[in-house]
Order: sequence, then structure tokens, then C-alpha cells
Amino acid sequence: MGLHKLLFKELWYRRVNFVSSILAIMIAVATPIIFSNLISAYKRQRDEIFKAAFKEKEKLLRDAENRYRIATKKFGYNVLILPKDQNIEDFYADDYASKTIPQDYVDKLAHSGVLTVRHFLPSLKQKIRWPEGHRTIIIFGTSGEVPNAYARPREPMMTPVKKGTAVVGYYIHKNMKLKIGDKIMILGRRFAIAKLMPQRGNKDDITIWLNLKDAQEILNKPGRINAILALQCVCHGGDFSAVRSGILKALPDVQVLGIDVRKIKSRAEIRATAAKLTKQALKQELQARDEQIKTLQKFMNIISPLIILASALWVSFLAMNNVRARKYEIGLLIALGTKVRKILYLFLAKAFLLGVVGALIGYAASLTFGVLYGSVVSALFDIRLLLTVLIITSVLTIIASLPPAIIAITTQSADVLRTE
Amino acid sequence: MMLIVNNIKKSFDSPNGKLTVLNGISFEVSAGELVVISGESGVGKTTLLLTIGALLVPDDGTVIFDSQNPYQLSNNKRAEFRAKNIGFIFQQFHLMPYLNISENVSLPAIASNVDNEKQLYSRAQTLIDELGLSERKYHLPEQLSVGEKQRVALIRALLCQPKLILADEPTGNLDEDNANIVISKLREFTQQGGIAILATHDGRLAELADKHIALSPK
Repeated sequence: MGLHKLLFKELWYRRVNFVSSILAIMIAVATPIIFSNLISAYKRQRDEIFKAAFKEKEKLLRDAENRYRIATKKFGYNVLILPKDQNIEDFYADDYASKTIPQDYVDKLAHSGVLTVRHFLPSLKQKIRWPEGHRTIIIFGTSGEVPNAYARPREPMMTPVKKGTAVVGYYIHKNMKLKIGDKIMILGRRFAIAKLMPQRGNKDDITIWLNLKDAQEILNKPGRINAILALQCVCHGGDFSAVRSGILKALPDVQVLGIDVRKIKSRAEIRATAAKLTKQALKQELQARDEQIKTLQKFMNIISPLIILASALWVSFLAMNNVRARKYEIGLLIALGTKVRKILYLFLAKAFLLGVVGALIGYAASLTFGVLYGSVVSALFDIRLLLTVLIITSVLTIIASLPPAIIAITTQSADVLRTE
Repeated sequence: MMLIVNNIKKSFDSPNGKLTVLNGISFEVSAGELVVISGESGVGKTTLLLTIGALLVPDDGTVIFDSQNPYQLSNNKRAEFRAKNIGFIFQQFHLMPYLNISENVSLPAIASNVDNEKQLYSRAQTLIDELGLSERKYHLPEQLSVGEKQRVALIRALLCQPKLILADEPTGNLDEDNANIVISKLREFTQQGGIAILATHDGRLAELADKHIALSPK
């Protein structure tokens, strides 16, 4: 007959007492873990909502910008920079500027810091009587877009024409029966046809696009352009007067015209407004969640210690009852010559066992809660938390059982056995 | 081996003041003797047994067993002394309710720190068989008759082969047959050199005793 056998036999005999203690410990262990998991889950949810809503807001803004870009692409660029001395009536009549400005104005503008304007396209455009083709055409020289040095790079709205090649408008190639690869002479210079444009129903159909340098050379205007086309970004509110001021500050001897894109702008503005509203709604949602988390935290900070204390008191009470119920057993063991440390061991070992079993069941209960309410609470097994819980619970249970254990070992065997 | 009880005095606090239970008891017992302590209920028989058994410190006087005064030892040493030398049979038996007979009788093994568990177990089974409890080996105390419980208590007292048995009313609740079994075993114990001290009202035991100590009220 060993001590451990005695311990387990007594546990089983007084299992109601044992189970009652286990339940108390289980609740004390599970409650703070569940609260803590709930709070972590709410925080994670909050972060996920924030990320998702932020992405949504960014998407709406990007969407607004892209739609605006795509829509205004149909109309060409929406900001036109012309030489200051260009007569606007003549410009509208001829559809190109007769005056020119230096080509390096584009670089100046790109480096000016005017962020609301992008996609700078320098061009040299002129109507000529094409001697070799025996018709009137428009020469459009372009070097490709110059990006805004301070803004995020964007996909260009127009691809450049390679030197020595030409892109030919619909009516020209149709009437002259031209093919890609054919060679044409324009004002004494030979060009290879790189692309044939589809019908557009406007002056593009009688236009030949050349590389800007080629156009400057054949039109005898080296280093000169007669327009800068640009796109105003809608994401910053679309205030054209501010854009114009910014450009004129960088290039004082130009004039700036804006293309009316009110319809497109309003659609884009709706999207931008939606993005703002999303941000507001997000802020409210996050505030509500933060309040929830605070409340839960407060509740946990009050309730958890109370539950732990109540559990400890209950375990101590049950241990005291156990000592009273076993007074004759204790008296007998002392009479038989059992040393005090063995009797102490019986009670503290029982307390340790209660602590370990209660902690394991309590931890399992918190995991079960997590699994059942998986959408809210993380149910991941954490070995470090389990070990911490096991150690703390065992120690606390032993401490709670210490007073009754001391009473047990100080029992006067004779007093108990004498009073029969 | 001798037991020398010299001028034992013991009082207890009571609502009516100090109650003197033992007032200078003295006697000597030699190995192989069976001693009966008789007296009215409450006269101090149990108190005297507990004092002799190194469980109750006397207010005055000495108890010397086998040349050792157990009350001069530390608590742990006194516990060892009891485990090694003394077997108790209590009036209420005090069997562990959740241990079967086989386990109950083996309880002294916890106290005595015995190395040879097998030997102890074998002795327990022998005694269980001798006292006619073989078929009840795995029964719980609640399943036993009074006589069977008393036999279990007797086996427990005899298990570690003590030198002294202290029995409080060993035949008090027993029928004749069971009483005879107990008496016979105790007599056998003393014949093997042990000392048995019995507190009892039973006249038959008084007749069988080698010494009779009558306690009277103070």
C-alpha cells in the first residue's frame, strides 16, 4: 500500500469534492484565456477591416483616376500649353499653332513640381502641301511622353514614333494604297511606314506622325515645338486655375488652355467622394470596434481576478472540508507512525493534481470555445501559454490548499482518537 | 523488553474547569504478558492507552518501553518508534472507507517505510487467511460485519510484527465466536513474546489477563 495509491483511492472515493474543485479551477483558467482570445480576435478583426477598407478606398481612388485617364484619352489631353504669342483664333481655325516654343520647356515643366499635371507630350504640328504625295497633310512630330519627375510613373497615353519611320492616317494610306514597310518621301526625306491608323473620322485621317526630331528637321524648326499636351490628374480635386497658375509659374511665356471634360470629371468625382465616404465610415467602424475592445478589456481586468479569487477560496473551502471529513484517517495515520511530511504530501500532492487537471481542462475548454466560435476567436494551441497556465494554477492551488494541509498535520491524533 | 509506566498524570480542560483523568498511574509489564485495564466509561482507559502508545504527552510521569522514553524523542523519531514497536486496535476500528481489506491491513507499510513490500504483502495475506477473511479480501469496510471489521483491525495491528499491542475494547461489539478469535490471536501474540494491553469491560479478558489494572474515577 503506497502513498500514491492512497491518494488516488481517496480522490475517487470523494470524487464529488474533487470534481467540484476541478470545475472551479477550470472556470478560473478558461475565463481569462477566453477573454484574452476574444480581445485579440477583435483586434485582428479590426486590423483586417481597416486593411480591407483601406484597400477599398485606395481602389476607389485609383479607379476614379484610371477612369478619368481612360475617358480623357478619347478626348486627347485636357491641358494644352501654347506659345504665349499664339493667336488663339488662328489656332482654332488651323488646328495647330503657328508660333513655337523651345522643346526644353517640357523638361522644365516636368521638373517644376506641379504634381497635378502629368503625361507631358511635346509636339510640332503643321499643315503642309505634300509635294511627293500631291495632297495636303498634317505633319505631327512627337517624341513620346515626358513623365512628371515628382509623381509616380504611369503608363504613357501615347507611344513615340521611331526615327526614320512614319505612322500614316487612314485616308492617306487608303488612297495611296500604302502598306507597312513601304517607303515614302516627305519633303525630301525618306520614311518607312511603321503603322497604318484606322479611320478616326477627324483630321487624324490626313495626319502623318513622325518622330519629333524628324519633323523639326523637315519643317526647318530645330529644337522647337508648338504645343505641349498634358493630362490633369483628377485625384487632387480638379482645380484648373491652380494648375494653370502652377504651369505659368514654371513657364511664364506660355498660355494654358483646358479642355472641358465636365461629365468625365463628375463621374470621377463621384468615385473620389465615395472614397472619402468609405474613409468616414471606416473611421466610425474602427471607433466602435475600439470602444468594444476597451470595454472587453475593462471587463476582463475586473472579472478575471475576481473569478480567480473566488476559485481559490472555493478550493480552500473544499480542502478544509476534506480535512474535517478525514480527521479520523489522519489520526489513524499518525497513530500508525506516518511522518508529518507524508501526510503533508498527501494533501499537497492532491492540490497539485487538482491544479494540473483543472488547468488542462480549463485550457481545453478555452480551445473548445475558440473552435465553436471560430469566426471570432483564434483556437491556435500555444504550448508556452499552456505551460504557464499549468505552473501558475498548480502553485495557486497548492497555496489555497496549504492552510487546510497545515491543520491536517497539526492534528492531535490522540484528541481525535480519544473522542469517539 | 519491558514496559514501565510510572506515575502518569493527565488532565484536560473542560467547561467545568480542569478534569483530572489519570492521577499517578504506575505499573510494569514484561514481555509475553497480557494486561487488562478495566474501569467505568470515561474513567481514562483510552487516555492511558494513548499515553502508553506515545500519542498523548502526559502532564507528569514517564513511559519507558524497551528502555526508551518515546516522549524524549522528536516528533519524527516518535513516529518511527510507534511504527516499529506499537500496534493499535481502536474501539471504532478506524478502517479507511475507500480501501478494501487487503489495502486496509497494509496501511502500516506507508508509515514504516518498509523495503520489502512483497514480504509484508505475503504476511498480510497469511493473516487474512488465518483469520478467515480470504473471501472478503477485496471488500470494502461497509460490506463487512462488526466482527470482520475487528479482525481487519487486528491484522493491521499485527502486520509489522510490533512488540506492543494496545487494544481499546477489542471484543466490545463482538459475538462470542469473533471475540474468541480475537482473544486467541492476542494470546498467541503474547506467547510469541509481545506485550498486549487491553482496555475492556469484558470479564473474560480480565480472567485471561496476566495483570489487571482497575481504574477508578477521581
